[in-house]
Amino acid sequence: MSNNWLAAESFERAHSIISALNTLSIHAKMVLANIDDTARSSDAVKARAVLRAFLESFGAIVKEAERTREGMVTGADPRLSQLARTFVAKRRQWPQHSRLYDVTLSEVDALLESDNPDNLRQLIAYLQELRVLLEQNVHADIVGLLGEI
Amino acid sequence: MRDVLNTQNQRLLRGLQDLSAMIDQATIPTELGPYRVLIQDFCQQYVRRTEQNLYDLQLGQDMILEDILSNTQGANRIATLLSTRWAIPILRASDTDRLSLRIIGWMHQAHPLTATLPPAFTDGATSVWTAPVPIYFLPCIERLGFLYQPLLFHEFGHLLYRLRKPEMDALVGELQREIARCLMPPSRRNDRHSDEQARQRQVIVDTWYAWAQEIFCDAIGLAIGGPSFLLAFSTHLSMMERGDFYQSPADLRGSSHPVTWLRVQLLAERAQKLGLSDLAQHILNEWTIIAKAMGIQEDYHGYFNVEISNEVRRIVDDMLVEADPRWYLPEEIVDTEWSADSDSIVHLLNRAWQIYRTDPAYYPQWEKEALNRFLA
Repeated sequence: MSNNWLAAESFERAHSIISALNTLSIHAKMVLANIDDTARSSDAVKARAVLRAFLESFGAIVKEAERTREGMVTGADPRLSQLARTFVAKRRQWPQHSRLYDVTLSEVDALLESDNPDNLRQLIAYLQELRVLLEQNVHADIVGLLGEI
Repeated sequence: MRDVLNTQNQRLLRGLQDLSAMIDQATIPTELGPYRVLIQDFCQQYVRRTEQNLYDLQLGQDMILEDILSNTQGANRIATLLSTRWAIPILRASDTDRLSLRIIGWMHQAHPLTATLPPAFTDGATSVWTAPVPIYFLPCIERLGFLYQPLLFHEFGHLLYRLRKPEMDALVGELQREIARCLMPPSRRNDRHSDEQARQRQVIVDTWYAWAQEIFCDAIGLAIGGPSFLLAFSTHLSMMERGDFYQSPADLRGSSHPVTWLRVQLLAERAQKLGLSDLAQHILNEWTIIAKAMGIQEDYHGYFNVEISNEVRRIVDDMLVEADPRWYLPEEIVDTEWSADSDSIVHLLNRAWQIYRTDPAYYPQWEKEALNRFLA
């Protein structure tokens, strides 16, 4: 019996979140550049919901990882646990160069709803950094699922 | 960059359109029809996404190229998975898939959470892909007859876990915290040794995430299939390898499945509670004889002990309540002939093991006739 289910679920999760990030990023850039992007508006609404749901559950895991010195995480699959520990380790680095690690969930919420150019710029930078963090995991999932040539 | 992405997306689009045509033209058993519709929809969804990438490229905005690159990478990954996994049950369909397809279809329909999910099946090591739609795998020898079909019930457990993920993860989290508590030393020092202990404890707790799900799936298999699952499981997993009985700490670290002997013992214990004592004892004896012959002493290097065992039992019981599988019925395990008109699949699978164990020489003939009646 194999453990395909772990890699498949991890891949599906990362794929859907990255797709949502891309939709939001393109939409924010178009709005910022005053280019009509209403065709993507309904996708952007769905993407916001996907991102919020992920950040809420990931935020809870990160909180748990921060509670203990060894970064104890329970009730989350190993890939997500590892991602949370990586996140916590980067958050503890000083000086902090990235907004990704000090922005709160409610701040992200506000950025997602805002049309203010400064907020849109912040959102774009945030989405870009979150995507980099997630994409580091996706390759391992794909190799776990399909092997390497 | 724009040209590279344009070429890549054109290539992806052609590939997805070709695949879509192949899916349409494939000859498949009727049981696979609903799955074909679903995969065709999925394929078309990615045709549209690739077309969207091409449209976005035409907008001529350099600022979104990095996003289109990421979308192209995503579409490329999905196209690869479609052509290597999700389309395979259709493109490599065979009439011999019908037995497993029927059983998966029955299994899905018997549970409200899965009733609308179409059955899909192909050759491979015994496993399931639960996302985005479930595909079940059995090795090509095992899929031909009845005896190992109950292994699909274990795989169904993974699907139920996924469909109840928040509740299941919460229960597994509770188990992991209890295990961490069990592993905590009576007194704590603040030195390098203590750090190492904490790291080891974390490794064990992490490993139990996957182990808990496997043990839960074993319990689901037993709940649905009864004796047929116990026999299929014990026989299929018994490679009689040393690794089935003992694994080094390095092998246990982050492993996806508990040591098979441990799984057999936990399953046998559960079977005894269901009144299947004779069969459970018989299976335990078989495993113990082999272990003794190889001179193996049970040692799970801190990953398992009596205290952890009690917690595992308690949490898996709760997980079963949460998953609410269709339990086997007493009349499905009695020693009576199976009737295609009135009896269930579970009775058929249990009947197969009864015949196989009492008269193995007659079994192939019985199986052939029963298969014809079942698939008629």
